[in-house]
Amino acid sequence: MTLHGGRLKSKAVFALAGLCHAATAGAFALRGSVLALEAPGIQAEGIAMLAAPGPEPGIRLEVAVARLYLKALALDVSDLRVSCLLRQEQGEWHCRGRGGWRWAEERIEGELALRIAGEKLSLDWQRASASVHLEADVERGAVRASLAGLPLASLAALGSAVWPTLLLQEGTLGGRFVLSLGAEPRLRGDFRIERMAFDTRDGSAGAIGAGMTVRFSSILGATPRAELEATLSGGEWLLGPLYLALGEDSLALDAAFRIPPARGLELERLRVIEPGVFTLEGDLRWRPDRVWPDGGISLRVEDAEPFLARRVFSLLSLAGFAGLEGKGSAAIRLRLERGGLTQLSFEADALGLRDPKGRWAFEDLRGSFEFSSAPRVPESELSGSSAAFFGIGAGPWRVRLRNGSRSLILSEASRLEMLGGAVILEEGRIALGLDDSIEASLAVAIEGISLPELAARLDWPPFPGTVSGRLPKAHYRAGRLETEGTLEIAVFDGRILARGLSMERPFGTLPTLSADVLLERLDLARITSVFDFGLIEGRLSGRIEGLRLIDWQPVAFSAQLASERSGRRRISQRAVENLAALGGGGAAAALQRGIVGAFSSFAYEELGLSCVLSRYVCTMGGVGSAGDGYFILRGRGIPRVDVIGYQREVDWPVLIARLKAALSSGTVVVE
Amino acid sequence: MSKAVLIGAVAALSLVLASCVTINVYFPAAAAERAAQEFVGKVIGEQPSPSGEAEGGREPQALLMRLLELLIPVAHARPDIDIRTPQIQAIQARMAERFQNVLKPHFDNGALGFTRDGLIEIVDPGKIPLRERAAVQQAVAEDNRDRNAVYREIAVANGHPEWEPDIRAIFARQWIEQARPGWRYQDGEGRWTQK
Repeated sequence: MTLHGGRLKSKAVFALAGLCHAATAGAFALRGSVLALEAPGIQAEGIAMLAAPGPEPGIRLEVAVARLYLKALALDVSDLRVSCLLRQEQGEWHCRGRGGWRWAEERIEGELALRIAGEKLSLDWQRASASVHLEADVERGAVRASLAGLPLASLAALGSAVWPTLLLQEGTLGGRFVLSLGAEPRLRGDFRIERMAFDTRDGSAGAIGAGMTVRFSSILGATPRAELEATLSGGEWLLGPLYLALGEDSLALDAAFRIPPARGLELERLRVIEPGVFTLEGDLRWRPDRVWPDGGISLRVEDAEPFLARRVFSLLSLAGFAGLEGKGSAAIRLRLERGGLTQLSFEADALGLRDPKGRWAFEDLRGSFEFSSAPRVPESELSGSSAAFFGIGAGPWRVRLRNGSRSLILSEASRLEMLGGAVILEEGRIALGLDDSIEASLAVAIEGISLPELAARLDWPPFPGTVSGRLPKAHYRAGRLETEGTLEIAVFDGRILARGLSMERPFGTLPTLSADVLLERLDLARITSVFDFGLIEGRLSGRIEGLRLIDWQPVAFSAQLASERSGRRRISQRAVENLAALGGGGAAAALQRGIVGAFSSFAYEELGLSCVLSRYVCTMGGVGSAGDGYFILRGRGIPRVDVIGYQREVDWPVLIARLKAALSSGTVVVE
Repeated sequence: MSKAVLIGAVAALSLVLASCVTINVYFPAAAAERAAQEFVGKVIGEQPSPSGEAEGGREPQALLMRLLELLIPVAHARPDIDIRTPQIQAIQARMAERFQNVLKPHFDNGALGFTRDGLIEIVDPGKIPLRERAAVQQAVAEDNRDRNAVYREIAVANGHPEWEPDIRAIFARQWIEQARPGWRYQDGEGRWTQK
């Protein structure tokens, strides 16, 4: 007998059971084939059934379903096969045997026990350590499931129905679920996932060795919504640029979200808590056509040290702040609207931040600022007990700010004490550009910074003197700092003026600095005493144009330094030898060792050196030509000592080595 | 008679055309190309194909540019692009080490690609094992910071900050030219293709 059905109602399965009931009485086989079967929320296709009397009492029942689709769960199972012995026991139907199905790529097969009592159906299925217990109340439209040790990989199809790019790889699932069918199906449950490994086809998220305990309730329908509480524990997690290695730690998460009919995701509530470390809260709405969500995020960091080191280090290193160290607490609030940042507020409480390469550090940062079109506080204050840049300490400091739309404006001048003097921020403005780049303009004055203190911090020889000056316009954008104005360095009883100071990537890769420098009447006696070069008396003036440092090392300049041709001018024997050494081997030619040896110092007319540094070669000159060479020192009176250089091109590292040798040991290097 | 007129017309036309053509070779394209070729070669490693191929396989246009460079005074078209500063070489060494140790396997498996603006990008993160993905993301970000600094610095160090886009374009071409078969890159329209 063959039964052809088109679309039957949910009662169909029980009608078939009824037919089987009839079959037990007589000794005939019943073969059924139903093309499709549809009940609310369930769809089955290609159902074939064979009921025949078995060797034992009862009926051997074989059911095959080509495809079974459970709409509420988006559960799509194919090649479902059940083979069991159907028996009637005390008014209930039991069927025990084997059953399996294909989910995604994998075929799962195990032992099966089915029980039908009136409108109630229960199913036990077991394979190795995995078990499923299902209870279905057809009349009430409810299904309860208890799962234990179910391999996650077997849920791959279900997973990708929820998250299309999800690839479930390893791990087991155990827990309880309750599905209530109806116009608005509901699913709730609590479950635990162990040793989970998953990835996504686009590689945007994944986990290895992770654990998860979840309690959730959801309403499935046109606009699915869910609330859940979860604990993420152990393993490694990757979410876009965020990489978390939880190790022994765990994060508590609770969230409520809905999926609107136009897809996207509305996160009505999100809270992630790691007690004592941080709390993240947010309400975000993703639209399928936009990358960035709209909504707000608020992050409160209770302890910056573990937070920076363990939670956001991957984000920091992507942003170029790898290994940023911190302590204390802070809070950040962001508002995103129409794909852009409309509000950013920052609060710090005893926050310390330190660049691991020692380029900058802030201690005990307190206060707040806000970028917003409608700031909650129009004025705010930020202060710190100390700050340091390239090892140069400063502080305490305090800035008062006017919080504007996409900008912060300094509302009054702020003084930063450092190195026995001060840097005064006279004007300041930081703005977020339309492309979210940061732009800053400043007016800075420098008051009496002590050069010996600066030199000590930078490991330089102990220069005497002070630095002061004004940079009325300094502008920073896209890693470039350009200034107008002059820095004046009062040093060695003369002064050094630096103009056109500009820097690129000061805290980044390959920092550069450019400037034009003017030297005015520096007292050579003081310079040579500091540098232990051998005494020279006189005044030195000159210019270093187009000075350019890369990584704080000079790579280009055009320098001309010469003594003033007035006043007392004398040079010691040692200084003569050192000057000769600077000029290279050729300079020794005009040196009369015998005469030099007899006097401790000599009068001179002028001395000077010029060097045009380019491509690591210094093209040298002096204070006038002397035949094939150039005068480095032009003597005066008797005995007259001239130092004449002949080497025009010197490798810069060689020149530096000569200078260092002359300064440190006092011995002359003649090559 | 008519032949003379024709010759005259052709001569006049040539003269007009010749007087209209102005070629200003300010940017030393060939020198920049050589510098980029050297830099990229040192980062990516040994070229599997003989280096003569790159030279010989030049388009006639490039050859013309080089001939023009010979003709035009050195002051106009600088003869060399300097990349041999220790700082740039330090970055080159760092990039080479990063390339061999971290990035290369992921170029080989198609996860990374060269962009048309001389940077690198994760094209297919799914091809990077999960455990390495965060480290590769970081290496890519660091490498791009180095690349941006190098392009800018070469332009500035040669006295022409405005050359940065040209330097970048030449480097972008070199990264792609020296890419191994199978590596991915972005074509002129921004589409990802395989070498």
